[in-house]
Amino acid sequence: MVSRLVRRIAVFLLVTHTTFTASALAAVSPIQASRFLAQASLGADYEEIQRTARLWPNAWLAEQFIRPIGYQQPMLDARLRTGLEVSSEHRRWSWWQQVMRGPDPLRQRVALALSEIFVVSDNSDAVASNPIGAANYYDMLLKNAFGNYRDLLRDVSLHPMMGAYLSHLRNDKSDPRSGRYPDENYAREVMQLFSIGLFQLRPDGTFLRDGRGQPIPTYDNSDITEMAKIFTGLAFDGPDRDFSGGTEVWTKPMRMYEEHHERGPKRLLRGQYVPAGQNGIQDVDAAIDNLFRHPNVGPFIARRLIQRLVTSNPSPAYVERVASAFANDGHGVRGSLKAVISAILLDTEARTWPTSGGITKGMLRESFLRRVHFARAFDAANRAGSYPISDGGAPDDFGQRPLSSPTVFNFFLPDHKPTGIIADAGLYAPEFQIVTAVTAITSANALYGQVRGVMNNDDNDALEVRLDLHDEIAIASDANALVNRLDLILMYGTMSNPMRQVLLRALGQLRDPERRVTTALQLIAIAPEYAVLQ
Amino acid sequence: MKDKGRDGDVPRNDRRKFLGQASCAAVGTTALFNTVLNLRMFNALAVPGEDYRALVCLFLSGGIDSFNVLVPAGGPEHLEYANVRGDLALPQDVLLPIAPRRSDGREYGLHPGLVELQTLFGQNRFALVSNVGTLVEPTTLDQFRRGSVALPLGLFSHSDQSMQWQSSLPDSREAVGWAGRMADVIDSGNCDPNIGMNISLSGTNVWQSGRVTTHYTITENGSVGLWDYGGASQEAIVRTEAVDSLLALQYRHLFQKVFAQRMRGAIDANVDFSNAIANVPPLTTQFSNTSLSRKFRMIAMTIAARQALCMKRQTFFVEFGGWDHHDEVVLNQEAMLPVVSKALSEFASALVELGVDDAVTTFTASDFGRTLSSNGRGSDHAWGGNHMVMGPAVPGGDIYGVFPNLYPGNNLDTGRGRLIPTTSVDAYFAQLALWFGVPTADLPLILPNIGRFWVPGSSTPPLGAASAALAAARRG
Repeated sequence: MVSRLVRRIAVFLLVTHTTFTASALAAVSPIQASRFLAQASLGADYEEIQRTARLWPNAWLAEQFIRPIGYQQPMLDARLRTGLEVSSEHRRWSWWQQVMRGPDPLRQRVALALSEIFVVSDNSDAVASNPIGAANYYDMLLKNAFGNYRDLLRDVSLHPMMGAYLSHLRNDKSDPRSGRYPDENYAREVMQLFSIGLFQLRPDGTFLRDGRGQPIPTYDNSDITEMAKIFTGLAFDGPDRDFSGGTEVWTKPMRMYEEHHERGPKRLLRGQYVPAGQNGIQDVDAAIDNLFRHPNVGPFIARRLIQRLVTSNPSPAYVERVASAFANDGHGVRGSLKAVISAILLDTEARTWPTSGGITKGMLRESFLRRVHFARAFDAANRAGSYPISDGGAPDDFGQRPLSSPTVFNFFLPDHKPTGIIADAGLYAPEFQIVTAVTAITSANALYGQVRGVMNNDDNDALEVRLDLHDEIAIASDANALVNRLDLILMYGTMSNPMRQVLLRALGQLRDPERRVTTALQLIAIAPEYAVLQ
Repeated sequence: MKDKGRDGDVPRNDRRKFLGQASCAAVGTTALFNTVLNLRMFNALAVPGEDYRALVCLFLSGGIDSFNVLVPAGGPEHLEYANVRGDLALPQDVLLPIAPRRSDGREYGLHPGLVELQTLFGQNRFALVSNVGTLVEPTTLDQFRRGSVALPLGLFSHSDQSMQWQSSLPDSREAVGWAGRMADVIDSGNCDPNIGMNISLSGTNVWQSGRVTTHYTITENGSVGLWDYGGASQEAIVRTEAVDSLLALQYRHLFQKVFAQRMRGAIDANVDFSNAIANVPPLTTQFSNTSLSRKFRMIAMTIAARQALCMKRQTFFVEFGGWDHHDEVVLNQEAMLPVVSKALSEFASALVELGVDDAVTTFTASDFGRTLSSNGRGSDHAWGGNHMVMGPAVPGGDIYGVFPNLYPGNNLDTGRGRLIPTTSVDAYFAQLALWFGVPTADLPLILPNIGRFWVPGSSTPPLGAASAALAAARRG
């Protein structure tokens, strides 16, 4: 029954998205499945790779789209109910729990990507001291991950966590007598980072240019001061209905306090206005619509999501195909993220096998995601089935940790070009921004420890999370078989012969099967071929 | 000299040619600069006896509200300040008075959290530069309004402005910094093959990114080594050999190649760096227990190891973030500015202890200044701001540039107290670069727009025009 439904949805997707190659039309080989899962999930174990190989990628997507959602907040609520404390650490535990055991690997992957676009960070006190609010925010990203971008943008804009992070929570209307103006923070970043970006784009994501060849700004500072008026009057929706004091309620959208909302007409972008006399939420909705209808949004969001999932340097044609899925999902709906995700993952540029892709395709794996990949690929677990992983050292070790970006600009910029041959080739490689002489080493050391020891130090041994390398150890006496298996799981069968020879030579000098496995994993963790997801 | 492996694939012999092309494209004037500069610098550095200089950039990221760092303290001026700042104004009686050597006729005070810096100012070891910012060319309010002047790209935006404060290229989005450009041409004065002129304590940054060279990154505790690498156990031997082999393979994919270079460079540099630091006697100067102070301590240690590291010219980059105070600016600065004050003064003491206080200049930079007007306990992104310098490049005990009028609607106010800068970042950086050793004639190679703000070779240094004279001009 379920499988028939899955197949029907798959056929539906086939009909509506015509951009994938013939290879996607058949059930795939295990290495193809492994590579697909490397893009579409946070990592997959041997069994999931084999299972997915029996499906079409489309069928896998269709199945993922209807899976239940692995929310984080319920776990924290449960802690509270039993009288336990809740801190940012416990929020990370629930993040790991859902990433490792949630029913929705694709959704978890996409939500993490969204958390690096619609950034809030526990680097800020407000986020750090309200872990339930932060979990609620992340759950909101999970909920909207397969929904509509307009709802996502609205929910982001009204979430008190974002309100606290970008300071439009309790943003008051102007007061000419004291010389106070509305806070411009959110107005600026919602345009620059969450929707349209700084410059007018063609549908393929390249810059429109003026007569002198210069990019054309999407807005100027007067547009920001106007947009700032829209985001006034929002504060906690507490029982006391108090704008400036009031109970902090982090799990409900902010409420509009009309008497603190800027009156009068306001100019939006592209010649539109909101009339005087609307209420505040109508103003917010008009502004969200104004941004949502902007021609930049499709290519802007397309490029950002492609960079998170598939490649740092998508061709303009790829961006345009995804942007057109944003503009119309095949049923006249604009902003369908399901259509966008399908278009990204099923595109010929994502599915073409890397050996034919030249020397610039793909992306450096995000530093922290190597940790997650190893955990998921080898079913990290403890006897209790829990994931009390606090990741206290992760920001230093990896330069990265979910919801811990140094600023709203994420851990790395989409336009980062590393000095040297990558910049000289005119290429972007955002993830290199957090690979320094320090983190290159500390992340390798952290993975070394993760492979060999535990993912968390807990007083209670039963709670220590370890990789399950049982299946690998069982075949480790055959070094070739072991390397083949690790190659399939971690590198979708693309390990070069020279790299294989290095591993085999090392394993040949080791007798102990467990030591063979951990050594091979530690070497893969440091290997340039593994580091790049092509 | 061996080329730096991690810096790219440009072989030594092609490097000069490459630089010539790159600089020519950037400067757009003459192609001969870089060879000249290279030779002159090399000769200057070959002078016997110690010739060591270091520049330290303290980047206050987020855009510091610096009109609460340097504040008008006299009656009428403070009133003007208090009126425009509203709930953000610091009371007159909490300001720490300073007496600039050249008076512009006004009184000034520092933020009450800058106790140590007030002392250093009084000792002529610390200076301020007022209303500095990014400019493509000198700009008036009228030109700004009529759009008749080229403006910095992405004015008031974090990403663009923090980049331009490091690149000094406000008309470009090229993320190449002026310390990076210096290193591209003068790194040959240093001789450790694994560690270049530029060292960052805060990871990747634009300031120290050149076209060819980049920066070496350390932490507040120094460099980091790979576990179980280079040890004597059988396992370590196996692993070391395998790691070396993996990193020595030929990679065609550019990302794989660069990843391998970074890993290799990091492993090798750690050996040199940790050896050099291990021989540094402990500093007697006490540093506070803040991350910023610990980073300045490590800079002092690195400077102490300069001979082992074979350094004649160095730059250091330290970032202290969290200044984007759209909310609670007064409370936050109260907590954060003392951290800066203590770290800088501790660093100054350590430099005296090491006998190199006349060889090191520390300066601040930030994304932008902030609006003079309040948004309700916070301020928003603006333009010109005040900055701090400590060290011989900028004689201390003085305020450079022109402290602007603050009242709403004054002739620099583009709205909400977003002030047009009266000193360009180019002039600010030119003062530092000249001291560092860049020959005047070759300054445009490092700061391509400098000619728009300062006549190279003029008798006054880039920041040197007396503030009193300029103030008179302003009032007239």
